[in-house]
Amino acid sequence: MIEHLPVLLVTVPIVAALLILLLGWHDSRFCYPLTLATILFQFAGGIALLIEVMREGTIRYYLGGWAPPLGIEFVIDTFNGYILPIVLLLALATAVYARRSVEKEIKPEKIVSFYVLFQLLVTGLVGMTITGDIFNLYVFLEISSIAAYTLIASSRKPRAYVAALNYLVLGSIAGGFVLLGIGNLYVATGTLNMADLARLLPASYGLATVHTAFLLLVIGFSIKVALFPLHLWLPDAYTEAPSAVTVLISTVMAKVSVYAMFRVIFSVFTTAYFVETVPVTELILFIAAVAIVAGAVLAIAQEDLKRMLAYSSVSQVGYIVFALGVANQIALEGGLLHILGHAVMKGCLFMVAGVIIYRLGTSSFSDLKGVAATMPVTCAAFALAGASMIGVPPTIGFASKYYLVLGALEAGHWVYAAVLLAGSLLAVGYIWRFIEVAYFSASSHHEGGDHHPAPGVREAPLSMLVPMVILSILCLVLGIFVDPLMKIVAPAVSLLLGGA
Amino acid sequence: MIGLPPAFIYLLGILFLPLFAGRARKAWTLFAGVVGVVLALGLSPSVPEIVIRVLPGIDTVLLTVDPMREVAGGIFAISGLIVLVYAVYRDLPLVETIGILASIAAAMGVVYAGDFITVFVFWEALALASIAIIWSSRSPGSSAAGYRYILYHIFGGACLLSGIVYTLVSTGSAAIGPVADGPGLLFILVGIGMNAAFIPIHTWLPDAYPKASVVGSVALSIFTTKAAVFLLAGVGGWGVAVAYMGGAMALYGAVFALMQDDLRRLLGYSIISQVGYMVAGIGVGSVAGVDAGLAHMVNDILFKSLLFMAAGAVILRTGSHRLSEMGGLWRTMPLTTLSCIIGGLALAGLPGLNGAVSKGMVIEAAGSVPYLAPILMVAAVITVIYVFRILYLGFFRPAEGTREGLLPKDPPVPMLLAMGATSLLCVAIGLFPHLLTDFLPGGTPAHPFAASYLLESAGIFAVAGVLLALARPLRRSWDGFENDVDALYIRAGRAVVWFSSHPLVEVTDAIGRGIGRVVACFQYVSANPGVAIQIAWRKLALPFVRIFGGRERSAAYEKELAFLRDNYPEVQTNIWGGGYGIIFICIVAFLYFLFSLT
Amino acid sequence: MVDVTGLLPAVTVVIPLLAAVMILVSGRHENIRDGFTVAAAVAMLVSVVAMLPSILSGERITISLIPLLPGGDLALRVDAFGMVFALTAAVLWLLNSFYSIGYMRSLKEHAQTRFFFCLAVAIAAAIGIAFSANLVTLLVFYEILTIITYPLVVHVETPEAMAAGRKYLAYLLIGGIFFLAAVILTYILTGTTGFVPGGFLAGSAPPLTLQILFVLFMVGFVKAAWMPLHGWLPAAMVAPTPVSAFLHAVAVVTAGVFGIVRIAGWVYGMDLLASLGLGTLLAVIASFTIITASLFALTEDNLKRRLAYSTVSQLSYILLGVSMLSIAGMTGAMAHIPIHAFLKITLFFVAGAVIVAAGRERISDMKGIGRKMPVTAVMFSAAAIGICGLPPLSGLISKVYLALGAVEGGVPILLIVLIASTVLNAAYFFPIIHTMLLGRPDDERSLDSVSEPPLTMLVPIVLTTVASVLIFFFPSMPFMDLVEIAIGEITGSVIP
Repeated sequence: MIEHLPVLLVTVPIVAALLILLLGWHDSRFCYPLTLATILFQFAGGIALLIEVMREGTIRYYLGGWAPPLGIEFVIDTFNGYILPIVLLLALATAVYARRSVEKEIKPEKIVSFYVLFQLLVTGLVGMTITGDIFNLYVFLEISSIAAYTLIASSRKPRAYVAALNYLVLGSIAGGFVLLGIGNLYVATGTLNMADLARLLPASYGLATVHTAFLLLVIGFSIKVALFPLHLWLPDAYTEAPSAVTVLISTVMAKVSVYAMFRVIFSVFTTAYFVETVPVTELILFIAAVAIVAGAVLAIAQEDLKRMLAYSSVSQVGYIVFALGVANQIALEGGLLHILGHAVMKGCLFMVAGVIIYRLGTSSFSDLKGVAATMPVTCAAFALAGASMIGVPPTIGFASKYYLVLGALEAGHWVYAAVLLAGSLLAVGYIWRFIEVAYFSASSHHEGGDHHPAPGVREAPLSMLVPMVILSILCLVLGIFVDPLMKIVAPAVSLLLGGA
Repeated sequence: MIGLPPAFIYLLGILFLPLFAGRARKAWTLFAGVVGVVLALGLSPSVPEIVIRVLPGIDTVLLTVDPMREVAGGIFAISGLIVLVYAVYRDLPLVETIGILASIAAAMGVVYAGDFITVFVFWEALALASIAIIWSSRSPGSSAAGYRYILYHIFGGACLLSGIVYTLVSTGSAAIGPVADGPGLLFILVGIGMNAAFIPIHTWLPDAYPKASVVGSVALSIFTTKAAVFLLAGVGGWGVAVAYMGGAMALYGAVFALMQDDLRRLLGYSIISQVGYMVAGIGVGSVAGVDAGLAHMVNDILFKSLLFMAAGAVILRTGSHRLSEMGGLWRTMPLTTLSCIIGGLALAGLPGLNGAVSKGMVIEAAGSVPYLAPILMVAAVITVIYVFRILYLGFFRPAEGTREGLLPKDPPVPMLLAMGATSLLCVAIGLFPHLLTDFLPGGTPAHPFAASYLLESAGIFAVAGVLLALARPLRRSWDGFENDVDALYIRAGRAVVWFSSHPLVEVTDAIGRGIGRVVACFQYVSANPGVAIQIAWRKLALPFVRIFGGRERSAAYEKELAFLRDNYPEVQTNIWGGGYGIIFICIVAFLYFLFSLT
Repeated sequence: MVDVTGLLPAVTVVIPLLAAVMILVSGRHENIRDGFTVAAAVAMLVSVVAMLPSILSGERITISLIPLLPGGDLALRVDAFGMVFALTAAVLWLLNSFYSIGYMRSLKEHAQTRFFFCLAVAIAAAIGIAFSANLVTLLVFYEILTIITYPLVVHVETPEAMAAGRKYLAYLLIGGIFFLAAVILTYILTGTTGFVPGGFLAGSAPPLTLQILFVLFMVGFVKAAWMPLHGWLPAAMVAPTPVSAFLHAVAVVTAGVFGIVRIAGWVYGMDLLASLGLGTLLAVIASFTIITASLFALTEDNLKRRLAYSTVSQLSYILLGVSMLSIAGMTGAMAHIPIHAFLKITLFFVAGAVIVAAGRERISDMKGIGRKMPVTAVMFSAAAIGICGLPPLSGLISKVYLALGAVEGGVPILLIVLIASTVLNAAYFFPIIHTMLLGRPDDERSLDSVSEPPLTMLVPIVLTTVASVLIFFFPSMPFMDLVEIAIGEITGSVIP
């Protein structure tokens, strides 16, 4: 069973999706438990694989027994072995969280399709994570993307369609770029298997085809990860989507896209290629720095919690790409750490936003005065995750920032290190907006003495509270016990730097 | 005899003072005073030093006794007791009583301290005690004067400390002794000089003493300056400069005393003048000189406090401080008048009274320094003149100043007792100098009745008499000249306050506003960067449009700009176009790559 | 110097954290909640004092909690100097707890649970700073302290308070960023961040780098409120007085100067600082701050703000002591930390007491207030005198050593600074004393309602004053002894 786990991680959920569809038609109450069960299974599987990888080393699974280059291959090494649990953890948390928020934010008749698409989205992402075949990667990418477009559109908000369309267009462009890139690679090498590519490419590093491929892929993925200034689809999409969906795409999907980007750059094209042959690191660094600052500045300007968080994502993606630009051991450790860290904290923050929308029906700052008095746990969760976002020790956010700066300084990028630090200051700017509003401004129904709970508004329902709190606590726990984490991250990074 | 630092007696006195009230309190203070005297007189060089180590690296010598300390300690204790007796006539405010006891304690502490740090501690304590006394009088102007007083003395104390640390570093020990040349010497001179009322840092004295209460001024007149003189003698090893400083003080003090009308202010300047004699003696540096200085310190304490007490009595009874308002008091206040005469003549240096003894010694010792003795003699002449003015204007001239019907009596018994005792001491020492000189460290004898000296003092008195006879104004009362160099200091102080309240604050505020504006601008832009940039750009372009574009065009242009600014930041522009501009960006980036590579 | 492993340091840090949790839990029942505050304070003091003997015997208690980041585990090490800070903080926190309870209750302040929770966490952070064994740990606790004190600063939640809070955060977090940069740079240069008596940076980089690094550290320790980076401190005066007391005496600013002394003695080492000419830099900053801040205080009519400026000036005494790069100067600097803390907390306690008992904040409104609240006024006078460095209060001790250090370090010019600042201190403190004790109120009636504050506030006031007097008479126990050990640690020699 364990040796077939990789493929099961992909096939089981697809089957499950169909099942949900059929049973859902019969009675929509089946959907939730089924989804939960499937994702639980996947999560368990992910953990199992991680352990396996840590113990045994890289796992290769030939789909249908066809060895590459003919067949498709699933590869789980330390890198995606590390990403996979993150993806599934967030997916699980979101699934638990989704139920109540969906009831509120999606028309009843769409509930079924929601769960189906949700399932497909997760599956697509898992597929992207574990596949060892670059074209297969593209396929899964499209699966997840299409699921995402529809999920966003399924919101009740009128502008959701616009946002979805916008995302669709840009997403397709990105897809196009990626596909073109893959095509070029195939032309150059005649294989689609990443390992083979990595083996064959160095021979043809001189070819313009390869360069073109590289650039197409980088740009394509940059759009996917919403790297400034290619982020324009992101704010609307995140803001308009149903809260649960926002949580999922903002954490899992973004992270997987980043993973894909790293995978292609490091495992298909080696470090040698993009550091020496095509010296783009400086440029990437520069763009990342701009992204960090611009994203944060725009976030500060927002008047709506959800939108603010969306822009903050733009800024945070900058951090991860920053690691790519520095491209040395420590910085990349920081980057990978930030993939996890950002997923956890941003997930928590968006959940808070969702909860607030669930209770107050709005997320614009002007309506959130003194909300901490009525929803203490929620706001506490926000405060903790927010602290992590700022990088207050001892949170995970601090750890990743520490590694990134350390790496940047070791590589001698003084200025960029400074920018990074400045960026974390700007993070204070937007996180504090909410903290001030929520905690330190008297709500309309606040009269002297201790803060009295406002009538009507109550603390969030348990099913939403639990995943939220768990994530926020994770921010702290991971930050404190970052050392064990590095035991996984460090080999992953050395794997990346060592090439496929 | 048990070796307990006498200062502790008075400190204990203070400690338990709050427990008593009314008579009990007076009794307690007197008791403390008596014990202090007994202890002080009982101390002899045989008493073992008390050394404790409070601070790492510094030996604290609380008690060490040598002849010089015996003399000073004895006189401080005795005069302290006298003050306490004098104070019995009414219920002093608690703070003032504490102040008096504390200043005795501090003075004793300075005297018996064996190291500079201890000296410094008591030195500062003395300043605090003094300000307690000054402020608790609550007389008009006392608060301001007290404020100035403390500032001067804090400054002095800090200088003293600075000097001390120099010695500490150079010699490696805090033991009291000569200070090496260099900044240290200067610092310590300023430090001691502040309390000794060196010119020109003497102004606190005539400024503050008249503001104190009747009792307070007596206490003040005794301790601060004399403690400084003692320390000056204790440190020793001074150059001639100090001697001349003494001369300057003697002259300056005398002249200003002559010009005063406020009785206690006059006496204040007189202190400066007399301290000048002591400083001169010590500055000379010879054994005789130091002895003379100490002797004069003892005597000055006696007759000056006597005068202050008399002045206090007069003020108590007549309520007037000014010579111009007094007169004819000898009829109604005979005893006061008597003690005032004794004190005054002692101050003037009439043979047979104690002043003559030590003044003679000083002038004799000063002979070894050129021009010093003459200066001191001139000062002596002036002294005689102003003493005459005190006695004549205050007591003997026909009373036109005092209001009719008011017949001031002699002061209450305690005051009379105190004055009587002091007068007796003055006379006794005057007649039998060895009572004092035997105790002097150098054992220098005094011979006030030697012909040479009698001639000398006769001469002084003669000159003074002639001047008085010739110059009629000297016999008239005038409203005193109350300015001094401190006008400068006060201006300087005001300047500092003005600087800190206006330029400083305004500049910092300006800076703060500037930063605030930057932040605000930042926020404004970040609210909608695209549009903000557009606005900025359009603003820049506006003049050109005005020039080159037609009227209606520029008008339209401005309208557009106005629109943008009015609905900022809500206004959405297509600058970030619904996402399709992205394609453009991608293509550009793509081409950039291609060309940068091939 | 022997290192012994012990759990006590960790316990000391954890106690207030537990208390914080309990405070949150028992939020609704005032007495239980405040009970926890007091209990934690006592427990913490006990555990600190329990470590005192072994520290005095020259040991260092170390414990490494968890591996955190490259460059430093989360590790604690209690040495003499850390003990100076920890002891001060522990003692003052106990008193401050009583005082806060009295203050908050008599003013019926809102959100008291939040208040005491934050206080508890903050003190934990302060102790952590005192005990941290390396820069990373120090950084961690330093940042926690910054964040957790924010709710205290903005407690009243008025717009002005929020503005002050933003200022507070801006300064301190930016400082924190610089500190982070400095720590990372240190790690890159030396591969370690653990404190080493006498410093470990020597020869690790070209002078210029080390000088820049030092500047980074200085900006990082903006909590030391040296000018011109002092703006947050007077602004934070909008906070309730116990908070001010906490900021000024117990934890925050103390943490700042503590950090700088740590850097000077345990990261750079005095010889290196001297060879880099950084002493001069420090001396200039410190002198400028001392004088300018005193000038600000001179004309400030709001008592708390005047005290704030006084703190700014006094803190730079410590920098001044460090800048002298002489044993005596360092001694003075270290000694001044507890000494100033004890004196300044008294002053703030009194300021708060006057607010509670008379509702007055402006000095000009306090004429003759001493008649109705004699004890308070007298204690204030005493503490003020102490700050001026007059007997019989502890302030004199550090003044003596600083003066010594100036001459010993061959920078007599600093004596002038000391003299000037002493005069200025007197210049802005004695008027207050006079106003309180002897001033005549414009309207005699206005004093009728005034009376001494509740005992929970009065007792701490008296105790802190008495403590300052005791420190003057028995400085060696324990503070000067600790300082002596610490000096021996970093210079390898004893105080002359």
